[in-house]
Amino acid sequence: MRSTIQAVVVVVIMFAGQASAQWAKHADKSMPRTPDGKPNLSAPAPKGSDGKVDLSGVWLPDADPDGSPQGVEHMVFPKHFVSITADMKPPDVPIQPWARDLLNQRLQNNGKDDPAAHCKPTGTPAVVSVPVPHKIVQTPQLILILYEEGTVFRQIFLDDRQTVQDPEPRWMGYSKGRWEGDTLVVDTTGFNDQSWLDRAGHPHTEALHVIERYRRRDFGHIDIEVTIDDPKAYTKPITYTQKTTLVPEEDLLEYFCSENEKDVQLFK
Amino acid sequence: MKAKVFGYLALGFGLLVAALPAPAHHAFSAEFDEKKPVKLSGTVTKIEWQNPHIWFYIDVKDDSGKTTNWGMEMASPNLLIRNGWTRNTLKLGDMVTVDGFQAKNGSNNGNARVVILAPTGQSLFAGSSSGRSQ
Repeated sequence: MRSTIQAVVVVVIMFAGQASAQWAKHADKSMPRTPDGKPNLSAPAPKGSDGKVDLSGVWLPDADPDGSPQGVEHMVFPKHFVSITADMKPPDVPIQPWARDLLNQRLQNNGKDDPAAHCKPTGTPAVVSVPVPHKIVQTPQLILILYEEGTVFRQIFLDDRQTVQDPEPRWMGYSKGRWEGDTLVVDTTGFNDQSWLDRAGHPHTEALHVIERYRRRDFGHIDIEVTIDDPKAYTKPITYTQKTTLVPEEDLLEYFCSENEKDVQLFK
Repeated sequence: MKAKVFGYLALGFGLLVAALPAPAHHAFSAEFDEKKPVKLSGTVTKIEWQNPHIWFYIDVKDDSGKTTNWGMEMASPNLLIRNGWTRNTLKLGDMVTVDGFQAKNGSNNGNARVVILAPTGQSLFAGSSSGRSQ
């Protein structure tokens, strides 16, 4: 209970100082509010003009409720950002031997080869759990997710286009979306094998297929169920849920890692 | 087999825990040594308010009067901005006391955990601190 409160406090602290943000505070007139004027995050989820649940907004992955604040950032990392197998006992992790060996090597190496540490992108699906905000912009035929992490985007097409055969392998992959009731289901393929699935260093191959199920359960919360299906690296699909919370009246800032990267030279 | 599973378990758990106190950009343990805590007092000589991490530099005098320049890493500008900082919160010439951890390579660099403005005792990171009032 205490750690849950701590986690909530940390998120509040992270976004407490709005006055000095880059954009002037801008009141969102469409925001449902409680009688005392605060954003009502438990109000019903909004719907777009096409009748679909509207996922638009600025969202932050929830911290690990069992975590504790760390470092100058006072951050508590989402547990699936640290490890996609955080919910599993190690002997139950369905990892292929070569992938386990590579994971162990990356752990022993203190994550020095993590692409993110070298200012390469945090790929799909790790970017879903990275503890900085992302923004969803929804239209009937196209949903954009803009990630502050690395200032990268994903395009989720809801039209009838087909994925090309043998696509150019990419960090974020190629995403197609469809609605199942109020849940947006996103299929993503066409990955390169360079990104890490988490900070621990779980690897994947180009055969990776990621399925995300976005459900906005109320105004202030989207639960994202992530399934990682890569038979070349894992003997069974791995599924976890990343909860995210709306950050009211917040906007994205740019983040270019290559601006002044000087950590790698200090790695040992 | 049992030993192998246990080894994997111990390795995974130990290193995951070690990797936890990390900036979002890289693993803490790749660069800094949690067994080398440092407490430094000095004058701010340079500030790099840039991504992926803010760095500031301080001149630290030892008992013999010798001055050493230390580089200290903080979070990203975006994170500190959302904590109420601005690029002017810390200024050249400010006297600060820094708690942190030294770089593993033994150089005069570290990861700052707490920065206290010496004249006022104000902690720039603690709780809901919104930095220096302008």
